[in-house]
Amino acid sequence: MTRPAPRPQRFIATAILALLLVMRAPRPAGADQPPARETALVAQRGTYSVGVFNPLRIAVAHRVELEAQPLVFLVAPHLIARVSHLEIGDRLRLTGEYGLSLPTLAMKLLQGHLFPSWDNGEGRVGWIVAPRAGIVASIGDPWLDVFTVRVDLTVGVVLSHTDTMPLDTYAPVELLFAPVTSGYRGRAGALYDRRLGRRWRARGYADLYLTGSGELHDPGDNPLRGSPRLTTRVGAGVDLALGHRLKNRLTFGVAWWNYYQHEIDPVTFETRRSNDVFPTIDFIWGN
Amino acid sequence: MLTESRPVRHCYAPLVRSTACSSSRTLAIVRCAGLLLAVAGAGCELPAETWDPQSIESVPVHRRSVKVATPTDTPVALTVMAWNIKYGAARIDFWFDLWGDRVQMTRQEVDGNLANIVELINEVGPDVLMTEEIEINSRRSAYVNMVTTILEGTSLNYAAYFPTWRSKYIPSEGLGRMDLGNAIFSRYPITSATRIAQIDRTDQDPLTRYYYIHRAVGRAIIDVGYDVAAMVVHTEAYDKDGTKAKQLVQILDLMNNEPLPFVIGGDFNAVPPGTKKLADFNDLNPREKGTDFEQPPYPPDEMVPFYDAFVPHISTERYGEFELDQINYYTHGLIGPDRIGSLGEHGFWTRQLDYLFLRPPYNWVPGSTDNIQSPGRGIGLGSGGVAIDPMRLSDHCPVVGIWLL
Repeated sequence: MTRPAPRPQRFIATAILALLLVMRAPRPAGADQPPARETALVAQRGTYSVGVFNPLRIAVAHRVELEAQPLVFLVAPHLIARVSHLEIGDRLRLTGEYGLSLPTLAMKLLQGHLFPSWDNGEGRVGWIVAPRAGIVASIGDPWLDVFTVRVDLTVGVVLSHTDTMPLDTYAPVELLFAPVTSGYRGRAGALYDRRLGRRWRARGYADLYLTGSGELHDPGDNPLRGSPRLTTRVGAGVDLALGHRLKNRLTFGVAWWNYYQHEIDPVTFETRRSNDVFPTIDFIWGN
Repeated sequence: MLTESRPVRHCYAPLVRSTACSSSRTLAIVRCAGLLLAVAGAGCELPAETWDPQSIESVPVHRRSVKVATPTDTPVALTVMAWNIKYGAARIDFWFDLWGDRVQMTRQEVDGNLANIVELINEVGPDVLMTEEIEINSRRSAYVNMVTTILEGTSLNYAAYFPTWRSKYIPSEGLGRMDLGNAIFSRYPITSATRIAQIDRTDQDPLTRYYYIHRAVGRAIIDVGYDVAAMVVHTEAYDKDGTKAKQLVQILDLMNNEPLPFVIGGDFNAVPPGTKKLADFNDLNPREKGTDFEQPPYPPDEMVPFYDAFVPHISTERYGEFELDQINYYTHGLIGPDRIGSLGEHGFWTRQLDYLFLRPPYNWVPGSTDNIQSPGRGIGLGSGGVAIDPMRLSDHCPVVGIWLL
């Protein structure tokens, strides 16, 4: 006796029903702790969070958040708008990120340290803007466990002649200035964040960064020229919710960076990639 | 931290989260993070390398990819050359000299300058070459490995590199990665090499001191049929706390206690006894006053103990009593001939800072020594002198001589 083959329509209907059930699964108790960070979730209007290092994120309208680092903003004006483009139930979100920064003043302030002073000549830090666009997708419940992937690209657009060059420094700093010193910074990353208990969350993440190895000097220079340089970051950490309403959090963890910074083996003179491990820590206030 | 003993506590009842369990979880998380940080951090490159001032450590000996044949007979003399090559910058004016604002060179500039340096070395044809301010992986010199470049471009088969300034990233004027040092090259086998640390300056703040140069004497044992030693030095230039004087005493001590026949050479940053001009040089920029790079006046007698006990390549008699004579042996000049100095004169050599010394009874082949200031000099080496102009290759000229073994 042979079983009748299931009809395709029945399969599809069953799959959709199962998906909807999963997506609409009720959130358990404990949902009052803050959701996972850096996901596609755009908070409800009026919600904000800000850390010492983490940027200020404030939901200014339905499905729209603005993001900026207040301290950095004073010397390098910048703004990122996060716009929720798609939400399917509570478990699938797609958000676009669109930003612009003007780092020239910060670069001028760092002359003598990261950048040359050019006191004895005519070298100068020019005016450069760095537009950015990206897309973030999250699947899962940000209050429970959620998986997020993101891609974004920031390019440097030179407005007036600059003599700045890539810094060849520690990866986090190099990446910060890469769009305006080497042409662009592209990123593809994945993040998994999971609730551990009433106060604790754990997260693990991995990112690939591509930056230009070329140099930008004048308006019209192609920011995408030059062979790319790859940087990887893998990290893990925990968030500890604090306060009576558990809206603040202490975050700490560790990030491993693997990148090319012209390191050589002092015995063989062979070049090798650099590895750095940095602790991550922050205190984030929220409402 | 990780060896601390503590009873293990398990959380068997997830629905009843006791304070003890929460505390245990917190501790576990902190410990895991600490362990991860410690293990992973162990493989990281330090921001800057420092050395114990008392340290004596072996350094690797590098070989030419294809060995150039050496005479099978034990040599009766060795042509010796010492040269501060200014990291292949030739006459490009860098920011710290206050005559320019360059902080780094292009690969083409470094390759071009090094090609000229290699050409001059080949014109002299030394058996032993001692270089100062040589770089193997610095951002300012486009990460060119100058030890390899000289090794492969000359007839010198062996090299030992003695780092003095090694930093992953120097956050000053965009200087970035730095790997500068001294080196000894030899046509004959270098059987071992050691880096002998010198004392550091004490007149800098701790952060500057951490990232600053850590001077060292490089010593190589060379097998010429029997063992001889070569030492290369480069002492402090800008100290205001007597560091250079102490380094010179240490060098003198090393020379007095060296068990092997030896030659020592390099940039001593001190002028010969009897030098007439000790300050107000044409190549010093008036704007250096009060900066970290202000040149202190040269004490006139710092080198006297060296001249008293050892055999300099240029004797005091040859150096002369008068400035007009002494100018023929100056080895250092910050600015090149195309630039007008603070006294309104074109750049030229302004003082002698570079030397070669032997210990008696060893001596130089008569007429073989020179400070190669210009084309045609170095005639005592047996040729018509060099053809290339050293004035355009570095802010120091090479010093040469033939050591009679």
